[in-house]
Amino acid sequence: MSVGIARLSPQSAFLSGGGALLSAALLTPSLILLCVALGRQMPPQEWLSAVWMPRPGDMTSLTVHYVILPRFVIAFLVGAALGLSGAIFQQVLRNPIAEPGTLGVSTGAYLAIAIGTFLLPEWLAAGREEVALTGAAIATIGVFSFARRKAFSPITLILAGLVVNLTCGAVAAMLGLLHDQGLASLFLWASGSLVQHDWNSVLYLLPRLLLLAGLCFIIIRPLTVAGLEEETIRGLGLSPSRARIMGLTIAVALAGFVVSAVGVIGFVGLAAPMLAKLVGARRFTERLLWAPMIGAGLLCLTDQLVSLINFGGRELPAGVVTAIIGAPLLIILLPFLRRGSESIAPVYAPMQYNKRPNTILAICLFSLVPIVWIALSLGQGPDGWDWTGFTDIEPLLPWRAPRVFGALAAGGMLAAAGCLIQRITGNAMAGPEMLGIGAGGVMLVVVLMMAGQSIDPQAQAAFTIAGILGTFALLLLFGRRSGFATDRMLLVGIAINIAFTAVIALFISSGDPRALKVLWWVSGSTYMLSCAKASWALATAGVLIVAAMMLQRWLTVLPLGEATIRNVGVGLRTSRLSVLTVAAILTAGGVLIVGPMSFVGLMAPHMAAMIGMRQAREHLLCATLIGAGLVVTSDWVGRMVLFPNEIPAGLVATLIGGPYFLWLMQRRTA
Amino acid sequence: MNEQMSADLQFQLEMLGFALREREILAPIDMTLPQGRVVGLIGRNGSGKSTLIKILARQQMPTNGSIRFDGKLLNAWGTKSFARKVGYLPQQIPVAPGLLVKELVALGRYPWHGALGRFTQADSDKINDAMTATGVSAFADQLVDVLSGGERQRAWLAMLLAQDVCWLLLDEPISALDLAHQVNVLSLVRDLSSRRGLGVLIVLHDINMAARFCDELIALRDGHLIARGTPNEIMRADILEDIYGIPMAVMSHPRSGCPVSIAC
Repeated sequence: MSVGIARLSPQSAFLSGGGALLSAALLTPSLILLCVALGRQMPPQEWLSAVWMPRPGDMTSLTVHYVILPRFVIAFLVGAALGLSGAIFQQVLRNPIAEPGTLGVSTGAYLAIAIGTFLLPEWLAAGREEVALTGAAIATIGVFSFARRKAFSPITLILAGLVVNLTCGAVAAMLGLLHDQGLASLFLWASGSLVQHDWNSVLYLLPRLLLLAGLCFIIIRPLTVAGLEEETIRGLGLSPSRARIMGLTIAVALAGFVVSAVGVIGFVGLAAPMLAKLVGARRFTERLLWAPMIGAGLLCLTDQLVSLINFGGRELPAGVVTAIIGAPLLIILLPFLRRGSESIAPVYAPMQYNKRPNTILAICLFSLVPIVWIALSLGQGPDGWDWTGFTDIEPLLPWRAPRVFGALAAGGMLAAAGCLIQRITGNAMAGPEMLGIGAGGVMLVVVLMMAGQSIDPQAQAAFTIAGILGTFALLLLFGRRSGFATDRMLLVGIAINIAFTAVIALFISSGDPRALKVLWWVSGSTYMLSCAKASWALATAGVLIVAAMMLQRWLTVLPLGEATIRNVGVGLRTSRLSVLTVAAILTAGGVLIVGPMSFVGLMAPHMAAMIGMRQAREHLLCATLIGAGLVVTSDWVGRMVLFPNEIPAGLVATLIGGPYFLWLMQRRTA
Repeated sequence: MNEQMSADLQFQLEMLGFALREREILAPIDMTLPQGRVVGLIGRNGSGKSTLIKILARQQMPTNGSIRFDGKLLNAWGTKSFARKVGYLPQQIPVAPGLLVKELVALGRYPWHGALGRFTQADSDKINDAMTATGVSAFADQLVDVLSGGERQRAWLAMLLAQDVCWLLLDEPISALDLAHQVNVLSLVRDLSSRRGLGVLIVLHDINMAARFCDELIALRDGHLIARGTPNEIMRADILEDIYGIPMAVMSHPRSGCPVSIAC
């Protein structure tokens, strides 16, 4: 019966030709804009000749032939490739928020380019494409080889991909902070530019895209089956790992070629398949056709619009604008998504749980004491290492205590927020930054900076809070219609986050002298803390974590689905709204202190689950303690390792936590 | 808990209907479901059984008509006060990642203690009783999701019992059970109904099980209520053929003499 209802969902028939309609709606205006651009160069009767054989020496026909046309074609190809890649990713990983970058392709390439930019410029001279492709390949091979022993299960791939992404991003950001020259050019590359000077990129991408698309259509049946449950895949006589690896290899290759050709173009790969689904492409085969078309349309239109807008004497990177245009489109169409049409791969559910969680909690709590004490008493001065012991610690406290306790509070809050969000969404890829709240806070400050305001620390804090509140209000506004259904909220949050992050990237790539400061802040640093602020942070953290603990019964019921939630008499809207609000305030607290620190919020809850924490209460507490310890340690290491230079704690947390996480995951498989 | 079980705890359906766009899933139905009896809901796939039971459980909003429960409109009930009276077991049992059987059953106490209320000895007694009654005490410390299908179904049923409701709405609660457990669970439901005066509405596919354990049968076809009566009234070849759309034969059980039906 439920099948009958799903089939009759009010939108499906209405939008049955939705894929074609949306593609046309995106491609038609971009073609018109292209014609307008051409018309400005030369009269229509000369177009054909300019396309086929430009007159040497005639500037306009050369511009049309070597700049305008290849740019349109590359936008089409890149959009199509990313749409196809994203459709395969979402199918095989069984996660609606998977995208071409999920397994480390983009950040791998990004890190390789960063190394080239800052350390080994001769690499880049040899060829940017090759460097990017190599980086992408190494990162992906890393993720694959790690997931191999778990038969490439979606959850293992996703988690390994997250760690590789965060680690590569952290190393690249660290390089950027240490060598600020070239930062703007790196961010510019990362924002993706479709500017062309010849047909080489088209000739590079076209055959590869055609080949991979052909391969994809050959294995369309195994790929369709790969989106089902593990048992069903086996039951149909297919090896789950082989089906996944075939699909993912194609998807990764598509993404890798795109990255090496034009840099990182985000969002299209996430949005195109999702938009295809939203306009009614229910079957995987339909999505394979329409996701590339929608992706191509999205990117072509964006790029045509980009070339119209002039932003401070330079052109906006297409990758950034795609995010800024595409995110609202996604949010507008989201209400059309059919309920229950997703089959999300389940989060890691411990089969061997810890029988004595309280012992583990006690161990975590008491190991915080030496960590905090060492962070307070051991440090480097002008004359080398300096250990104050118990007695001489006092004069140093005003300097060190704010940072240590601020880090403690922030780490705890972000980890707790991540735990809440992962529990209510049931999505392993969900983290506090995915509500867009952190990025919202930073974005408002950045926008004001771009508008030419100078911002002192006090005003910065105030604007951050304003940005956070505004973002949360936006989130609630869009989530209200679906009764704050968590899957929708997550998608809305991601869309908001991507758009805001794009604005921040735009600022950093603008070459503004304050860019470094913003990057520092975004990377997670305790540098700006005062004593008063740290005590406030600790108090807030305490109150909020108690508040989160009071939600524990809801946190147990909410993952069981709407039928059960209603049956036991939990108010759906009230409970979801409360958990979201607490998570949002926790995130805001963490962001205000150390900036949006992705790793801790994302990974601390997974770590707690992996050491066997099962119940809501123990999971939440353990994640909080792990987060707090991790950030204090990272902050201390970040201050010590390159003394007198500093590395932001957020980056260190990723670099320490990443390998530890992979080790935990591996141990679990043994 | 018997005090609250006045004779009024009945569902009154007035012109209740459900349509999805133009398609009518449930034609307007007028009926009363009295408390204290086991009512079987039978019919072919897609006849509207699950929709009806979901509407009664407030899982779905009807598109026409209204329902009163205990004299009060269904919408007027508070979430928790409704959950104290009516328990619902969906056809597809959700996964419960990382939850132990005893914790799942304990969720049934939520409408009584709420988000922050104290978990009392009485709560834990109810939980133990529910697990004993459904025979899942032995699995109390196991993860729900590693149990076999039948064990899992009984664990969820235990949650409903711990909920201490006066109405059970069960959508195919025995679909994953072996014959012995089917009889056990249905006997348990029967027993609860007669001892504690519980009202039960139960979707069943096995017409013989339905006839054996239900006080009354309600048959739906294409969203229309086509028959209602005691098992003896319904267990007639012509009526069954009307319900299921295939020729059916009815004979007497060799031992009990009750009517038994088989498809011809």
